[in-house]
Amino acid sequence: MSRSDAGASEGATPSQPALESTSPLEWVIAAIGGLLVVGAIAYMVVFAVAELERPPAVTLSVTSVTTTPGGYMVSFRAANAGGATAAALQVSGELRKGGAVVETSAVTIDYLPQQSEREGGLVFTRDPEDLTLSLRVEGYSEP
Amino acid sequence: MSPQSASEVGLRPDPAFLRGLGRAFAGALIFALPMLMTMEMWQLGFYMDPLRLALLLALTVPTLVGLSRFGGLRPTARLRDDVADALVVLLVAALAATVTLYIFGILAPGMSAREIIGKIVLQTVPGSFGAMLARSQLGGEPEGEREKDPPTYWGELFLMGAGALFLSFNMAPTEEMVLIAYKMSAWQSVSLALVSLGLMHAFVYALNFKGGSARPDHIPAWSLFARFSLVGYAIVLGVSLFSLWVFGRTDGDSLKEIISASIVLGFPGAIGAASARLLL
Repeated sequence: MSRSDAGASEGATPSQPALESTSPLEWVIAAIGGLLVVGAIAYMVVFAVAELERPPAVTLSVTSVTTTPGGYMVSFRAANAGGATAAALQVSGELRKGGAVVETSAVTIDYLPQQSEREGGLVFTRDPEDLTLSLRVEGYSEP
Repeated sequence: MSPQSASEVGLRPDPAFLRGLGRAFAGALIFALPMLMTMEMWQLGFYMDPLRLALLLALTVPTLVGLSRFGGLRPTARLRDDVADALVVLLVAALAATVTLYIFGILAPGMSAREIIGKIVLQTVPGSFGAMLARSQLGGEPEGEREKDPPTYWGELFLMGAGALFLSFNMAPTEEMVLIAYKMSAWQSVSLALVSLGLMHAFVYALNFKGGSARPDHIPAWSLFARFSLVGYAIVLGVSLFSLWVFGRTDGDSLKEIISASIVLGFPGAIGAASARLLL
């Protein structure tokens, strides 16, 4: 592909060359850009090789219980230590008295990416303080 | 408003280069904003196959170099200047994506490096296209002065592919492409393919408007149709299939659905390819 000096011959003024070469500053910026591109590609490839076929592994932890007009809000954090994203993650909570379940509540988290955290809340009408609270993951789908 | 001194050498910022960076930033935002504000694009950032994301980014570099040859930030002298422009544009687009996603709260503490990098990389691809085209879109010097050689036949095909990618990238990540394909009957798919092909042919070679190729009288119409519109539409379908595959929209689908979805995405792609010489 040859490049003729289009435009430079007749129309262009002498102070505005039609073809510009690259300044050192631009090369510095280009080098940073190049490093970022190579770094991002390398990161993704390494991630793919290291994390392949590792299913989501979700742990739930209660962060706080607050009283709201709608009931007792149990806030929790869901952390995914696995290598894949969990979509439509179903989280349910149970309040037990002795062995018997007295109340259940459930919530869906749209997406919980790999190695990431998301927060959510479950609302109960009874005070979890007096009862045994347990949270569990019921299921998810692949995105 | 005085022209920049061409003798400026060294790390001192050249005002023309800074203006170019500003234009590139604006171009990245203009083109990538619809995608920066699309939920599927954030989600694909973390759940799409990391190898496909890496491939997409890797293929973006030569595409940008090609675009820089035909338009780009400035009239470039040599291939290495085009490479420099491509890398600068990628950095600008990554910066634009990072700032915007952070302000939107799409990047937040508690997210893994994989999630954050994935979201930024995915948005950098369309942003870099916009940044590279900023010069042709937002204007630099007067048109006449930056007019380059008319592209060769292969250059023409490359521009069509880039134009198809330019338009279809907006829509490929959305659920609607597959949903529309599900809703269409086989006859409707065939009709859409014919309409796309016809529009594509009409757009540039029959209408012959600004930027379009003038139809030389000595070349028969069927030859133009076969060499440009038909080949161009095949490229459009290829680009559509690639975009759908990259975003995981073909995984687990039947061949019929994959073809149908490619035709659906090929509709905007065909418009993009046909208007490539106007857009790019």
